[in-house]
Amino acid sequence: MTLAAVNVEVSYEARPAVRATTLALLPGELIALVGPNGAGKSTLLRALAGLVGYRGTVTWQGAALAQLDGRTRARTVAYLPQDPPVHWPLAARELVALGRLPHRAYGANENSVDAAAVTAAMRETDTLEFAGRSVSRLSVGERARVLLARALAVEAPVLLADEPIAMLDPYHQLDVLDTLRAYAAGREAGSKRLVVVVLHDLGLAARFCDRVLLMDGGAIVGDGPPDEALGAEAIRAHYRVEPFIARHEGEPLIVPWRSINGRRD
Amino acid sequence: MSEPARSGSTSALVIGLALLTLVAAAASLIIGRDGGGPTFGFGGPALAETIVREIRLPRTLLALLVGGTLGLCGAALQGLLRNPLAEPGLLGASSGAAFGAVLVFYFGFAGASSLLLPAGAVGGSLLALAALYALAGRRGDFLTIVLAGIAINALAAALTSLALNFAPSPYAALEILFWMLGSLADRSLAHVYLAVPLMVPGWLLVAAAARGLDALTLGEDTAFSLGFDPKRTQALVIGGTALAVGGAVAVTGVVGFVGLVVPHLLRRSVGQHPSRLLLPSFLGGALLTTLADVAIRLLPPGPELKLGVVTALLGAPFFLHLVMRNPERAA
Repeated sequence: MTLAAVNVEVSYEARPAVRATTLALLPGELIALVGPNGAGKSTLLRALAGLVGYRGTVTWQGAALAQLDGRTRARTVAYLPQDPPVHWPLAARELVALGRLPHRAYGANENSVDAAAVTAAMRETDTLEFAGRSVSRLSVGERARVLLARALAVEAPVLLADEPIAMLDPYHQLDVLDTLRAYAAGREAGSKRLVVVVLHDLGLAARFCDRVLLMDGGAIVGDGPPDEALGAEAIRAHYRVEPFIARHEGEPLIVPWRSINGRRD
Repeated sequence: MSEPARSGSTSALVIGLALLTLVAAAASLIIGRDGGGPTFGFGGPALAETIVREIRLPRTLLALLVGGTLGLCGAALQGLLRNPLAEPGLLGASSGAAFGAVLVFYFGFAGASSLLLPAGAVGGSLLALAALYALAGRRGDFLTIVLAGIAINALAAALTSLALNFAPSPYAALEILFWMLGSLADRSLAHVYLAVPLMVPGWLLVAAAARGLDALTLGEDTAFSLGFDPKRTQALVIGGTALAVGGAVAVTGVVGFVGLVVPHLLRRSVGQHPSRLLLPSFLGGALLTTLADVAIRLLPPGPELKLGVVTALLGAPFFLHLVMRNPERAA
């Protein structure tokens, strides 16, 4: 059970967005994908989700994702775009239930498994209280949690989430990362999942994630446990900030303190 | 917005609409023009049977089929383009079909065979579709399709005007104008037989896109990640609409706004679900068109109002109201 990317390359009009990238990602891990703006994080995520054309291969359990039929791929890899549109003001619960589409046959109504998945996803994202409310009446943060619940409801073994906590208040940022960690660990024993999450908060990435992928200039420039990948030197080199790094209650604390002046090469 | 509609209330809506449609269809069979009424007044039962079978039955069937087609395709296009202002006319399918028919008029073939006119309309609608695909099919984003539809509409309207301009005789011009107004009068079962083989496959294609339309609620990326390639959904809806609307325009001319008004009126009662809107919109379109056609017959004697005129008179202010109330949606 591995999501493997071999020599994945993405170019936009001859400009490389992701340079030859080879990765093996294992279930049970919450993996942070971090890096400065324009590093290629979203593009790499979209390549893994099959949303952009790429050279190289992406396989799940040895099978190329690009060869799978749409429904099988959808049940294998769930993808949450950054700030996706909601075109019709569905009730929150109905929106979350869209995550069950890959599991439902044409014309079939929601069954008890679907209903349980939807309810569980909404409980984990703290959105049950407005299940019946139209998404057009939710705040930005509430809507972001409903959209995350939609992605969780797929119950796919791979979840790729692009900045799922960018719009959230501190309580829900912590809560959602706890949720994603629990989702990766598996709701029941033996159902480990792989979660890749794009984050901008290095402190939260270091605290919550098992593994950090640091991207810069379209390439993975750091890969390992947070302590290794997010050292002061790497943060200075790739983010151009001077970090404050400490420990609190035995966990890492990283705060970008001051921007480092000077142009990058 | 509305409370979430569960599938239970959607079935209730469908059953209610189906019953109302049956009642309207029955009324359409009974109510005649010029005070015909249920008793016919003269001629005895044999004439009555002939009138119902030869005149009112085709007219009623066509109202149901054409209205259903416009409602269904309107709902599907709104789901595809994620815009409540979408309408079959938007694609250029209707105006393309009208131009095809006008060409047949122009060359004076309309009298030669009752089948030639519909064939021209279907050809025109398919041509418009082909042009749409050539312009926007590859790119595949929805804004491009809307703009391409507008361009094709403008081109079809210009070519139609050109044909009018060069019409061989005033009578031909008049015939063209009357065709374009849209009507169900003086149609026979032959028209029904011509339209059905186009409409039914069209409906099936559109229906096959139902879940893809639901997935598109969250945008093209999410739809793809849910296993519904937006390009496939688009091909199903556009292909199905071209077939069904081409068939409809072929036999009735252009009947506008049914595809706009009906889905809009029903959207809230299905909890905004694009897929749950399809069947109710089909029934609602059939109901509205049948009622409008019955209403035309109840008007005082005189030149009969064209169905397309009635739907446009009712629909255009409604469209304006939608645009005014929803400026951000209209963009």
